[in-house]
Parts: sequence; C-alpha cells; structure tokens
Amino acid sequence: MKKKLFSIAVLSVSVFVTSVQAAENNKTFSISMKAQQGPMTLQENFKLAKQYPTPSGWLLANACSGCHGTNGASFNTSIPGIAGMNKSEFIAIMQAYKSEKPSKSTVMTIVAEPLSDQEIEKMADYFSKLKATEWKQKNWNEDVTVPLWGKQNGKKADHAEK
Amino acid sequence: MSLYHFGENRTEKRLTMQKNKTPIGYKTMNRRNFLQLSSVLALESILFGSSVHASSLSSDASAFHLVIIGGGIGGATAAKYMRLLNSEVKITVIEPNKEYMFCPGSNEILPGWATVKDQTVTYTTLKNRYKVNFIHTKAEHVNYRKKQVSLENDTVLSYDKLIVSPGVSFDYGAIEGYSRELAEKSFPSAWKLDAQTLLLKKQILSLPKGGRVIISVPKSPYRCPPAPYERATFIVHMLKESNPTAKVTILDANDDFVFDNVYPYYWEKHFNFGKKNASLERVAAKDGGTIVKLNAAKKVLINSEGKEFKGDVLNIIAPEKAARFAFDNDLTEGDWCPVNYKDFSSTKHKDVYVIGDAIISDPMPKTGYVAANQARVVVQAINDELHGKQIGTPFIVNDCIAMVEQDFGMTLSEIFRYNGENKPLKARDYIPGVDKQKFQQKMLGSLAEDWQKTFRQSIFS
Repeated sequence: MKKKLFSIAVLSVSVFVTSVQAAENNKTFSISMKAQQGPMTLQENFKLAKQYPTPSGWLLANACSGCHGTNGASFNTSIPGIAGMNKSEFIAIMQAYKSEKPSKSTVMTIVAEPLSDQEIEKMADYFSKLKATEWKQKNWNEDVTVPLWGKQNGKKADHAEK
Repeated sequence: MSLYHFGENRTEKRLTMQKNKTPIGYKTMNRRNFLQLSSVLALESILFGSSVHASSLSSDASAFHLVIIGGGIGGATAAKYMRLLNSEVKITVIEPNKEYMFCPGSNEILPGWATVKDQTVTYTTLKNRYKVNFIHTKAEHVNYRKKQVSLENDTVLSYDKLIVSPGVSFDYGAIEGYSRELAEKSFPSAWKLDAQTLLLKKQILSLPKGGRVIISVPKSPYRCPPAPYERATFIVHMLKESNPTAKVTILDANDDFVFDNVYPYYWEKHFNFGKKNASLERVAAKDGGTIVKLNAAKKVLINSEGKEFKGDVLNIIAPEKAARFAFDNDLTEGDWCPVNYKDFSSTKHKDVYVIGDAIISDPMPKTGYVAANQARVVVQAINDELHGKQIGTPFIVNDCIAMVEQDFGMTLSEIFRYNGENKPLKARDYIPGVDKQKFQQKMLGSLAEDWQKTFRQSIFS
C-alpha cells in the first residue's frame, strides 16, 4: 500500500513539473533543440496498432521492464515500481501522460504518447494482478561484483537458494 | 488472497507428483498436463516473484530443449524470460565468457565514473535462480538438418529451438592500414568493454598538453548510435582541468546523429562548439568526415577525398557486421542476419531465431534495450507454439535515458510496430531535445543512473 502511494506521488510530481517547464519551451536558440519525431505520424502509429491483434499483457508489461524492472517490480528512488498498481489508477495515470504535451524531461509523456488505449488497458490489467513485491533476490550484490551505485553491501549475502 | 492459496496448493500438488512419479518431459507428457503445469507455474512466478521451482523436468533428457548461443543482453534475457514463461523446458546457454562485461554505461569508465568491476555481471542468478544451464565454451557449427550444435569442446547438443544472439564483429580491415593488432596495441576501437577501453583511457590521460583526440565514427548501423557523441563529451570532461587546451575531433561518416537536438546545445554552451577555440569539433560526412585510411606511422587518418587529420590519440571505431558465427553458419545476407519480424525467426533456417545487434534491424537501432525486447518476443513465440497457440503480435520499444554528463540527462522513446508479413517494423520516434532548466537536467541525469541499474536487474537478477 505504502509502495503504491509512493509511486503515485512520484508520477504526479512529474506531471506537475511538466507544466512548470512549459513556459520555457518557447524560447529559441542558435542550435535547434526542437523535439524530433517520426518517421510515422502519431495517427499512422495508432492505425497500425489497431490493424493487428494487441500484443499480450506479458509482452507489453515486460517491455517496461528495462526501466521498471522485471514485471514492473524494481524499486528505486526515481523510477517507481508499477507491479500491483490498481488497474483504474494505472489507466488514469497513463492516460494523463498520454494527453500531456510530450515533455523534455518527463520520460513517461513520450513513452505513453504512442500507446493505444487497448495496450494501456492490457498493461493495467497485467500489473494489477501482480503482487507489489520487489523483484529482488538475496545474492544480487554478488552478481554485480561492485554495484554501480556505489558501496558494496558489506558481506556477501547468503546465497543458497534451496 | 485466494489467488495466493490457489498458487500454493497447486505447487504442493505438483511437488508431490514429482516425488512420486518419474519425471516427465515435454515430449512424453500429455499436452493438457503440460499446459496446466506450466501455466500454474508461470502464474506463481508472476504472483510471488519468487524463485522459479524449476524441477527435475528441466534436466530431463526428453524435455523440450532451448539452446541459446551467446550470453550477452539478448541471450541472457531470452534465458531468463523463457524460464519466467515456462518452468518445464530445458534451457542451455553457450557462452565462452564466465562473466559478462556490460557494454551500456561503459563509456563512464573513461572519466572514472564507473570501473570495469562496476560493469561486470556474473551468470550466478541465471544459473541458480532460473535453472539455466551454461556451457562456457564457443559454439562452432550448427547442423540444421539434425538440429544439433557442435561446440569447441567437442560436445554436440541437440536442440528443439535455437536462439542465436551472437553480437557483432569488428571489420578493422575496412579501413585501409588498420587491423585488429593495431586496435589492440596502438589505436583502440574500444567498442565493447575490454582491454581496448582501458588502453584508450590510458592514452587520453597521457595526452600531450594541447593534444588532439580523434574519434572516427563508422557509417550507421553500428552498436549504440549515441555512444560516440557521449564518449567525445566525456573525454572533454576528462581533459577540462588537466589539459584545458586539448581538443576532441569527431570524424563522422554520418550527417545526422541521434540526440543532435541535445549535444550541439551542450557543446556550444560548455565547449565553445562551433567557435575557433572549441574543445570539441565535429566533421560530418558531407564535410569530409568519412575516414577510409590510416597512416599508422604518422598517426594520420585520411578521408575519402585524401584529406589528412593528424591526432595524438586515434580512437577508430571500426565498422561492424554480424559476428563471425553467423557467417560461418549461413545465417547472413550481406553483413547482417535476415529475420521475420513477427517472431525474429531466421528467414534462412527453420526453428532458429536470431536477435540483437547481428540482425538486419532497421528501423530498430542496435541497442541492448531493443535486443532484450526482441528476446522477449522470441521466447513468447516459442512458448505460444509449444502450447499450440497462435503467435502474438510483437512489441518492441527502445527507451533511453542517457547522461550528457552527470548533472545533465536526456531521453528518447521509440516504438516499433508490426507491419505485416515480410515487412520491416515501422518506427515512431520521439526525441524531445534539451530541457533548459538546470534542475530538470540534473533530475534526468540521476534518472539515467537509476535506469542503468534497473536495466541490468531486469536481465541478470
């Protein structure tokens, strides 16, 4: 429960931040910093999404796993876990991102933009059925000899998995 | 709550069954049992994120055998996610190295923001938690008719399905006068994390005052499109204090590049880019950036018009093609491997799938993120076929949160959609450009760091 609230807090902060920065975007610079998009238009993208069966919930959800972890269950300070998120909340948040003008620094606005409503719903359905438990294991520190994020967690964790 | 009990009971039942009966492999068990078992186990692993109870079945000689050649990002992801889908199949990865040197993030070794150790991952979790067999040797020859792979250690493995994720080979010889020996000794390519990376670091740190580092970028496609520009930026940072009059020159065989709506802005602001005293400059292909020849004795790179560029450190990023294994085993067409984009099956041989940097991937870039998503498409397709189901629609995204430097991040998102049989996927890209606000830049910088962690965890934990 705590976890879920935390995720929503993070997500809402990002949405807020987007609107704060909107005013900045109008300025011009000597070098083009404009958003680049293509080669498909957004409309073509949605048309194509409709033309073929929607991918499975498992595949859609785990396409998120590079950032949110396996089954959306990696928890860290800036990328929230999404495993176990309530279905309607997930849909509401994703739809809010989707309707937002794509932002330069809120990653989820550009990620959500091309997703179809069916895809978002399938993801929501999949994540809502998972337990909001972190996808971790005892010997993770052993796998990365020294974790990227600094100090080694002292001794090697008990590694036997029986 | 009720689901939890459901899962638990079924597990118990299953374990009892295993104890009392002889193990049953895929080929001998009836389909209904198989479906029940594997779907319950898949559900269980989904619900509890707990260790997969890989059973004696997965080591049973008659079990369905998935063999994966290559334990990089593509191969490791395929192994782990196949196990998440199916606890019954036997999975074997053939990979000569006992540890994996993670390439994404490895440019950070140059300025010392990461070490080689930070980038090194073992296969312990894949072996122990996901019950994946590893054979640490080279795969040599595939007999497609007999469905067998012969290994360097003289073992012959039979497979039901074969996933090949061999990566790239470096075509040093494509640049006249350049060779693997020169890359290892004097002019590193340093395009995968190995001794060449450290050689490059050493050379940069001992650059003469006011010296010049040249990075030569091959024509696309090559592995990790934004990495040359990231590297150039990191190198200027390394030299900023100790050697402020040093210069980095990018000689580029391409005109446009990814994040060219971010880097030039940053370079202009911090490196006087575009001015006479710039610490970083770039020569695009249209201005003669394509390098065709090396004069090793003079430390000179020569472009297609014969113009010479002299440098103190030459980082020649060699052109790439599919790894040699793919050529030796008739998986290529031109420099890369052709596949069907619905399930990444090879167009050349049945029951063989090719993923990762080795395939004809356009419009997908050659990135680890894409390779991991391709792996998931393949294992789902294999599992669907095993269950007699229609293969689903593929879904590939490429999301990147990258560091320009530690306090300045940037992002892009791409989606690649299925567009029918025998057609390449169709891309929708969005690269938002620079956020001018410092706190936003910093936030994205730290997001980039977290992303490196979760990406690794999603594959190796």
